[in-house]
Amino acid sequence: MSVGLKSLAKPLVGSPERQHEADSDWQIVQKVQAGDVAAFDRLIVKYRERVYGVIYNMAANREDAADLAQDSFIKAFQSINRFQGQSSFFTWLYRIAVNSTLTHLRKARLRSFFSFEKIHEEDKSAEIINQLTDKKGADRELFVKELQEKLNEAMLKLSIKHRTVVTLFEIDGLSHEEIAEVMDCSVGTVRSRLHYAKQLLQAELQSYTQS
Amino acid sequence: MIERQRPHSKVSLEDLLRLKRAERPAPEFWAEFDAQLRRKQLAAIVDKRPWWRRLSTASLARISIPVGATAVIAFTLVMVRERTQSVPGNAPITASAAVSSSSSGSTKPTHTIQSSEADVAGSLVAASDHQAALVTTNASAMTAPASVSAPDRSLSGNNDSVVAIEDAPETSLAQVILGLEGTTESDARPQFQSDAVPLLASLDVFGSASAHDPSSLESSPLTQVSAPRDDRRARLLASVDTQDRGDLVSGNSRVVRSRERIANRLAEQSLYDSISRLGLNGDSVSIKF
Repeated sequence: MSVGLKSLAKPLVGSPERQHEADSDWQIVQKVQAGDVAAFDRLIVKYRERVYGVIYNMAANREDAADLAQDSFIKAFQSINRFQGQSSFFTWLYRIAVNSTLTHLRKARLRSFFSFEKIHEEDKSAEIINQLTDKKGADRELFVKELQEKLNEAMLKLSIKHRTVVTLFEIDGLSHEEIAEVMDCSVGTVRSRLHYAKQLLQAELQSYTQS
Repeated sequence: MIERQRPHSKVSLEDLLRLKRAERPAPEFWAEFDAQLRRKQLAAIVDKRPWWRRLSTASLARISIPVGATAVIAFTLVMVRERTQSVPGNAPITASAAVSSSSSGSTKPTHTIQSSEADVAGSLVAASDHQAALVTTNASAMTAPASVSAPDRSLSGNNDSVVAIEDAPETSLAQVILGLEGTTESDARPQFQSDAVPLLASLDVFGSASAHDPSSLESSPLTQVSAPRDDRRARLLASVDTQDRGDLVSGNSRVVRSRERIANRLAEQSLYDSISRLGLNGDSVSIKF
């Protein structure tokens, strides 16, 4: 069974974790395709935060991100029977989410309203913030809030496609190949966009980064 | 403040961008997210009908009764209209013309057309579309200064004029001619009895001013119709009158001969006029005014 699934599901990533994840998703997808609608909830719970994060970092609006994430899951659910396992499920789901967000951003280009989530200081993020400042208490919160505004301001100066590449690569951790598959472009285009976007961000955030 | 922190910063751009990963909603956010997603999922499961099916079921269901009623009313109106329009063309007013010959030796026999009330009412509807009220008239008689025996005479017309009077087949052309013969210009005009005036008034054919006043029929289009060459006829009659006065002076034989000649000429002229105005068509005679 698993051999057959692997032959169908051909994720581009070669890491064992991603491969195992793709096989697991493919089994769930097959259950949903067989009529087990409740099995789709497992996919929702598994990917809702990642899908929401990608959309949020692209749209910079938490309300729109929630709606778009829900719509992406609905679209995936409605089109689940057309998913043949040629790619990994999360790549397919990301493609739906990114395309929906791009369509939304093109429509709402003139209506720019931003609302950000709060940065949760956890292990990695707290370490980065500690490297930036030694303040404590309210001053630290103020510094983090100011840093967040600068980060989002720099991200919003990028074009939609450059912002998407940066989001998928730097924030969500997808590979170049996966991004190329999600954005339906070549890997070279992804690299080019990523390089250009990072140059712009470096220029915008040079006051925080190492010189 | 930022400048003050710069000497201590050891973070890269990638590290700064990883801070964006920490921008996450609170855990309670996902409960609301799941609830909304569940509602949307259930709404998506419900089969969406195509717009034409929704139109056919919802919209047409609402308007089906009014549309049906309107269709029935329109069909009824069309049928009634066609029926009423076909009545005057196929079966014009059938008037039983009881011709009473000139009693007491009068030279002006009355030509009486008796119509049934139903026939008159039916013809009225066809004659004037805008006249909705059925006029039940007791048009008992309409006299014409003609000594014509016309048992059946049909009067068909519209709002503008009386088009034709169709005679029965047995009505001979000679009788019609004789009826017109020997009449003066004033006699040639049909004289309607007062009973027939409401009929004409309801028809609104000859104008409303002449409807209730018999004397005003002189101004009606029918009575204003004059036979061709009336001037010539009047001139001849004037000369007869002049000659009548002269007869008192001159001899009677000359007068009689002259009057006979004039009478013959008048008869011939009347014949020609009648022929030009009368049209024989099968079993009917149409008179052109």
